[in-house]
Amino acid sequence: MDNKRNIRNMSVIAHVDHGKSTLTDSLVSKAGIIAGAKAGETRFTDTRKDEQERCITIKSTAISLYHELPQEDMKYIKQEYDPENNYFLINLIDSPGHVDFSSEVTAALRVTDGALVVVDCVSGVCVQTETVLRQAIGERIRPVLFMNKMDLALLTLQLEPEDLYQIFQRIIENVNVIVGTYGEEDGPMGNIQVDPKNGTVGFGSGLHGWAFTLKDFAKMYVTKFKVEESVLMKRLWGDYFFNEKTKKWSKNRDGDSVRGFTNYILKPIYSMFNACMNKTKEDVMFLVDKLGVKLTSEDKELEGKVLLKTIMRKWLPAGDAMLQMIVIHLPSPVTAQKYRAELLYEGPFDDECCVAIKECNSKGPLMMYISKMVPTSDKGRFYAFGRVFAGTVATGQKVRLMGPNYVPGKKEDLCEKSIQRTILMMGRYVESIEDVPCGNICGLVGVDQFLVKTGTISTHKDAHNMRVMKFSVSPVVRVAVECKNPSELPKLVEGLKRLAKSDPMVQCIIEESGEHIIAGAGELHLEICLKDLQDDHAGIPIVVSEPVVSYRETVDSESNITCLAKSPNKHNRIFMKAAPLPEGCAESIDNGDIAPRQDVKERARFMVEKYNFDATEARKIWCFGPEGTGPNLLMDCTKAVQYLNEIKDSVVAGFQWATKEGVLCEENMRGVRFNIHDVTLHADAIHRGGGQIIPTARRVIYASVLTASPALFEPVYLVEIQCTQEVSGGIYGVLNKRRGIVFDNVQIGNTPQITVRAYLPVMESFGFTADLRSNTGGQAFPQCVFDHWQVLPGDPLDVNSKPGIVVTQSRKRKGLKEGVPGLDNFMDKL
Amino acid sequence: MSTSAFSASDDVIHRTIECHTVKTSTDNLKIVYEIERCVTWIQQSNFKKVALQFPDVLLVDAPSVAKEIENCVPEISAFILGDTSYGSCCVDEVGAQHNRADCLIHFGRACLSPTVRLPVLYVFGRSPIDTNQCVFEVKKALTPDTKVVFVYDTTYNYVADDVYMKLKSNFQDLVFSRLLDPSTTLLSNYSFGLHKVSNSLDASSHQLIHKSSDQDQATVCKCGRYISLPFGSTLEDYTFLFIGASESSALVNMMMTFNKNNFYTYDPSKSSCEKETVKINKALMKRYYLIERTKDANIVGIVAGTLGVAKYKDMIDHLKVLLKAAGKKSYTFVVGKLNPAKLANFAEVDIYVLVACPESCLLEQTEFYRPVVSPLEVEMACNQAREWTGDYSTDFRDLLPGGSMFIKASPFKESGTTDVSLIDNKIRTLGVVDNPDPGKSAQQTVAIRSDASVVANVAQNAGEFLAGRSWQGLDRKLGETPVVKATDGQHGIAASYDNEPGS
Repeated sequence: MDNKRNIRNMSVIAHVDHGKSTLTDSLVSKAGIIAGAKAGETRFTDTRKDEQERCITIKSTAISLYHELPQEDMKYIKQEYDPENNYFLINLIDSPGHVDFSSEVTAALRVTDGALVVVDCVSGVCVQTETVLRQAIGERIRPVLFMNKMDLALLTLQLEPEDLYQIFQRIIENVNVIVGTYGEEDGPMGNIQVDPKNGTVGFGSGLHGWAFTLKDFAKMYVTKFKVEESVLMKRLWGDYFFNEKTKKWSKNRDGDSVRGFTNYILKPIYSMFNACMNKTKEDVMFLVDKLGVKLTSEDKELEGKVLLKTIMRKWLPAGDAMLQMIVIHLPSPVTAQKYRAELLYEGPFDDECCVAIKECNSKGPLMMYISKMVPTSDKGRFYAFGRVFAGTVATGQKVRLMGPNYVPGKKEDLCEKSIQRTILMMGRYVESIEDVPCGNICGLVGVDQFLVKTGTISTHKDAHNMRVMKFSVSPVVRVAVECKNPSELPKLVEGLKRLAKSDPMVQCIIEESGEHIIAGAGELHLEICLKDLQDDHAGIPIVVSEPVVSYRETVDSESNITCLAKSPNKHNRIFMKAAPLPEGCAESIDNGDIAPRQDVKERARFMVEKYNFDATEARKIWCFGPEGTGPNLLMDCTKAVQYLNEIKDSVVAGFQWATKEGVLCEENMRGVRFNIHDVTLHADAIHRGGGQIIPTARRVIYASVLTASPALFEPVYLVEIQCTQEVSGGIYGVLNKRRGIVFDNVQIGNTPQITVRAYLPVMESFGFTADLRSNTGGQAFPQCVFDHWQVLPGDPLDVNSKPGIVVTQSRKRKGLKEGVPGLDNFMDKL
Repeated sequence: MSTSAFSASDDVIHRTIECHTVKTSTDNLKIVYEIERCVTWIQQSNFKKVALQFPDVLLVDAPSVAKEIENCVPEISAFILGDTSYGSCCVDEVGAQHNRADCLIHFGRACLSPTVRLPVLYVFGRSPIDTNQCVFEVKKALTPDTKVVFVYDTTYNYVADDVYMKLKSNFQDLVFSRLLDPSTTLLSNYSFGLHKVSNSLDASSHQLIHKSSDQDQATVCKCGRYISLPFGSTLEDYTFLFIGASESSALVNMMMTFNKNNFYTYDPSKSSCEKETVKINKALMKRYYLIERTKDANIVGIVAGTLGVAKYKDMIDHLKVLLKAAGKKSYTFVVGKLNPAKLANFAEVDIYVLVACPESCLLEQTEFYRPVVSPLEVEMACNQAREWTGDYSTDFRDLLPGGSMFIKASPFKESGTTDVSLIDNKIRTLGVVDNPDPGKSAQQTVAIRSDASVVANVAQNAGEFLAGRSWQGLDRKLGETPVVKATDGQHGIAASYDNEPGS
């Protein structure tokens, strides 16, 4: 643990049902925590009851493993290593594959340096594989690849060796395309493409517990070919052919030559499969002896698949192959933090904290990032789970807890507390430990209540925050929950608080109407959250509303007239127009390309170049909203107005208020710029105070929205569905009925499988999975990720149009007056 | 929108006030305004200067009533008062004292909040009602085996006994409620809330309440009403029957207080008896939201919404202590009638708490820049010993020592209580905390501010808020402006100067 160079922090990531948890079992069994025979069945890292029942991982789970690398393999390690010590500590995090829980993956990636990307060799690279891989690369995490479910390919699909090779080849290409797209070619991580020749690709079956890399086979054939292991590895992949007659390798295939990979790797495996499934025991035993696998007498009694499993597991144990690949190819904290420090730290790169992270210095100031909260057996309390990037965290240590809104030098979002205990997470168990030096992943007791979900922990007075995580999904599906009896409200609220803590993504909000809203990434996510809330966190029966979508209010064109609102005392007038922001601009604000705290001139230049803003106007952005950061702009387009600066704060307050609660149905606004064209003010300061200006600014904003053809944005999912060609008709039918638009439809290689990609409004997605399954005979399984906002066509002011109905329903739910208030409520005459 | 805080004098005179006033005929005057009772009361106590307070709707009758009383008791002088600035249901003691009145007669609807400064007589007036129609409709709406508590708006007091007698034969279990008229009992004689009927009560004025020493007979005394339940029954089993307008604030008040009961309303103007469908759970959830908002607030404005209701000062002091203990800064405001423009002048305040009579402390929130809560909600938020049970009280006196809902505040832990707010998903701390000092306190440092854009900031007190504003005062532009001779400034009042165009 103290030997930083011998630590590997890694996460297992993949698409749903590609076999992460099952594969993880193999690794865990290697460490002796579960019996080898049970590996592949226990799903050790699925700690929750519902995870075991549903066979789906919901929460990411950490586990620490020890691995001893053979001395002779140490030379393969390309990074700085300790030649004396060949014992390695591997901190492994198993993450969920379902897209609804990708926030768990994000949290896992943050605290690790390497990722084991698992791909089902039958279905290939899927949407979630791409999403998590992209995130991993964005976080500067080095990937290695594992081709899972070879047993399926061999036993069920009965693929020919050459076909299987082609499939492998294509998957690797696909992965490398993604890596190439999102990675920097000559970035600080160097080349991160995966290549079997280097040993960064593993093959095998998690379920059967066997796996290999080319290195394993190269080692077996070293004596036969009498060449170096590393040289042989290169021959065993790609277009290298061996001619039995001439005993020569060549790059071109001719009559007698065979591909290295198929002949020397796949062939023995195929014959073993064939022998076990179709031939007599003697044939099997002959092969077993030839391979030098030792079987016990009990093992020899076994038949068919079970026998095959046992033999394969003894011949090519998954744990060894995988752990060796992880240790050799994934970076140690020392290596990784060198290039990750700049990405992780918000402050200047040359301050004490950043330097300590770069050097992975356990004597430096403590820098720890808490990426998630893990529930303890003590109800309502959590372990703060995270990674120590610099310094050492110890029991009883007094630390500074900094939330995401902390700004150095301010006291907002800052606490000073002592750590009660530091612990190690071991799947279902925890172990107390005195202190944890940098480079490790651990849990803290007693700080959970001072952090919302994530945060930075430091001992250094001037430490900046570690950068907050960016999630690939957004909480766009919401339900309102109610308790049956109002006296149970405190329990419900307490439960919601706990729920909000326990999940990195879920949002629990009390709305002004008194409704308690839970917002999640998708239906499954919400289902799990609600179950947790009812059974664990609140412990009371709850009433759940129909799922609703969160909308955004926007405008379609510029206001057709300049709107005027007079203050209550009639002495102040604000003239304003609303206009839509140029396309893409709201997204630029979302992802921080245009941000409130940027340098004004720099930001203006960017906006002029990219979005054709007027150069002078772009410099006069008063603020962003709602919450000071949202995708709406308040712009000062006035000329020489007296006292204007004096009312700025009040107008801004009115703007924040109005953009938070739009005029249509009090949803947030999005993608609107408000231009203040003129302001007349009373000469006396007392008559242009906040009381006069704030409500007036709000009214004029509402008026300018109503005159600028208001519209509603609805969230849209990107859906990916894999199925066979025959049932694609059913998919199209279901999508059509639900306003879905198919934009991509490709066949996967030579298989009858196709991948359909489509856009589907979130509003239409409720019950989509069930509908799709019933229309495709249970074959198609969709993955939905929030993709973008799209205008819901129609006039929201017309109660019979689609957006009109949405507005009416939202207003009713929020207990607002029926119907959007008329323009004359907000606009005054000159 | 709201009315302006200050208007030019012309506006006030020409402003039309919307109320349907019907002048009462001279014959009815004596009956409706119970002149006789007033006269007796005045004579008994030998008052010399009498204030007569009328709500806007009844102002048309005011001169005639005043004349009538002066005619009956020639030695007194009577004068007429309009509403208080806070609402017509409360007694305008301060206004009366300006004229050195030694007693006050309040006409019209009343919230029956006890007062301390002056003896008060309530004359509720008589709203028209067809009692037979009422009894008929009620029988139609409710089954005879329903357990009913009969309550009514003050203006129907005169027919209450009549209706009760008519209904009694029809319902097995009908409980009558008496108005708790402060003018007929002495303030010192009652305490608030659920209590045993005290012997000191003037039995004659409550002839329908069995004066009993039976321990099990409970009398509920809330919302200015006595409800005396028969032996062994609890209030939860009862359905309330309210006679009065369905939008009446007395009804809202009672529905919040008795939030576990069903309500039926007989509205005499519509002549129909209906079940109140206003979701009381929704209303309570909304109040709970406000409690959470209060917990979030750093700066609380205490708004005095009454100058008449007894113990309002005690309540304000109580709130100050409570807020201080919870680590919040409080400021006290007296602004007269509340409106959004007045309260929005103090942008630094996160939340306002309104100390007012029970019928005016629940405000319609939508137009206000910051929410306005009731004292109970502040108690819920800041008093750790208090737990939300779903019980609600709009009467702040219940929260004071001696009140039915009084719970002594327990001190906060030394480091405060920290949790996550569900409103903005941020960490918040209740209780006085020594903040980890980030080097220097924010107020003493000179902040370098960019002119870029205003970013929302959080302030612990008004000073910090002001320091965070983007506008810091006039630009002095020393040496940049030419020197000129002083000229005549503006004349008149600020609302409209004489030389202002369009005034």
